[in-house]
Amino acid sequence: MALSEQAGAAASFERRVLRSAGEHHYLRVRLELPDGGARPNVAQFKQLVVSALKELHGEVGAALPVDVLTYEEKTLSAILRVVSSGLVKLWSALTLLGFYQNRRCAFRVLQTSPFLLALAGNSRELVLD
Amino acid sequence: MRVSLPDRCRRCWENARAKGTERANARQQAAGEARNGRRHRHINAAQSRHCTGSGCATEQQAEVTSGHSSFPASLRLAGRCVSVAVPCLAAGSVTRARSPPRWRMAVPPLQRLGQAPRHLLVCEKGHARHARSRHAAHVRDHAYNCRVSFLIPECGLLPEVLKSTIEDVGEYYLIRNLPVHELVAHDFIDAFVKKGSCYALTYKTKIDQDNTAALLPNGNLILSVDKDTYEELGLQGRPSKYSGKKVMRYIITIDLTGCGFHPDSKKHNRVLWALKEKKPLEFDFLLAWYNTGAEGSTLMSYFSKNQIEALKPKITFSTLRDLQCPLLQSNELHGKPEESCSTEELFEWLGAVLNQVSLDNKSSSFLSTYCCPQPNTVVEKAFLCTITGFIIPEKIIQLLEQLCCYFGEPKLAYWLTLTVHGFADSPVSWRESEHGFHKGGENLYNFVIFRNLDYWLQMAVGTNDDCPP
Repeated sequence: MALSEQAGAAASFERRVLRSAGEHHYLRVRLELPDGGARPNVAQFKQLVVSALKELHGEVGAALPVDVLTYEEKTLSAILRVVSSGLVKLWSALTLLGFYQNRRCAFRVLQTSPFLLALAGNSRELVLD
Repeated sequence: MRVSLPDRCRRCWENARAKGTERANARQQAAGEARNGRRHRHINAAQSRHCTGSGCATEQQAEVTSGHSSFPASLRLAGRCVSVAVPCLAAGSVTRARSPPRWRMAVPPLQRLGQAPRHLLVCEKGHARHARSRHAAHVRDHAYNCRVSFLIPECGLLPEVLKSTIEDVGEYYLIRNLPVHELVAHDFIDAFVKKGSCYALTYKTKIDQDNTAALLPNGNLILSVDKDTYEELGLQGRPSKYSGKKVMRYIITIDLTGCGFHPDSKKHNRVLWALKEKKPLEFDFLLAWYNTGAEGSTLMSYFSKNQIEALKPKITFSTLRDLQCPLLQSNELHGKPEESCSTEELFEWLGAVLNQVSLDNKSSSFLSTYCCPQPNTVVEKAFLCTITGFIIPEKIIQLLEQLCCYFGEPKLAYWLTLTVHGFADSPVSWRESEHGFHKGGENLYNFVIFRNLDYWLQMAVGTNDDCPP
């Protein structure tokens, strides 16, 4: 931080408007599995996402770069990052995935946003009372 | 006139329109009388230099509709881009190649799937002590806030002043099944709306499905209702901007403090009748009231007959260890390669911190390629505080002021951040600009306060929102 000390004089006013400039989209998802079975760890979870893409969109779809930013094994919820042009591919692949290790499963997309910061405060999930 | 052309022809089309139209006009004026009353068409292949080779479509369908004539025209032209200007039926009329509507010019459906929904990030920089600084006004204009977080690098223990400011964020109220007509009653308006800043927002209603109501501190009551409710209510409103071609949502704005809304006025009686008898609306409301010193009855006593409960915001503190922080320069919004990070990079990084995303990027990682933006530095500890509730702008301004005062004494930190999330389902975002829920309903802003009291303000909105002020 010390590097930036030299910002001397007070900044003059400047405004930038970035219109649809976000390179990525973020999804908060939850995997639903029947009770009692083995829960995937983070690597298996990522593999499941990639296999979902492959199933629906083939090898080219499976090459879509998807990042698992966070994963909570207890709740099976994760935050995924995908390039904006691949949002529909990823979303559709997750929606149509029906099985994990021959057990029925479903992905729920809880929230999606072009801003990762927006996922930190979802008013629809807040319990204020 | 309807003309559909492939996307790659767009530039050519526009150029052709600009130049070709002039030529067509000139030609028309010369030969106009001679061809009076006859249907004719021009094919202007002037702009072919853009498209020689394989760039443009070789076959184009043009369907032309004008007045009472409509006929399709299929034109096969090898390696050319054509501008099609068609019919003039009226005597002496000038043929014009009108540009197709933007939505039609846009992309083919499959390609459109690759486009991200529209979103805006507005970044401003200025100085917090500048006489014309608008930072406080931006906070004040954003009425409904559900979460406030601030992050102070190089801080292990919060100063007492800040602690007391957080504790003073104030309580809010939740009233169950409150009829909306109680908010337009004159007792309520006189006791609360006119005597301070009164905030009300429906709780657990979804703006894209349900009816929603909000009371702004300027005394405007905003009802966002579906078509059926709108027609039953019989109050004047306007179609929602984001409702599409077939309007299914309407916005009704009632100025409770306006001169035409006194008791016994026609308007007041009409509104009361509509909300009480015609179509009684009931919601769970979040309420907060801020008044500058004047004593008066409290919301708790006023609504004692209703199910009201006073709630306190939930406050959480945490200390983050060995946090990678990007280097910033207050006068460089764009950032400088190798010297400082840009405002967008910071915005994403902050999202990663608040969502507890791991910032270290191992080359072997199968899971994620996200890493802290460069250049960065590792901070031994950082203090993160999150306040969740129905938080009114006046309290956020107080907190912002205290955070500016944090740099009154020498500190190790070069900057700190204050993040505010708005309600995804409020009918307004900033001021009274309409807000909707397309895919996320995000409306949030973030301040970066620098040691020299320069600030960056980042305001982000999703698809169904106006540009922030």
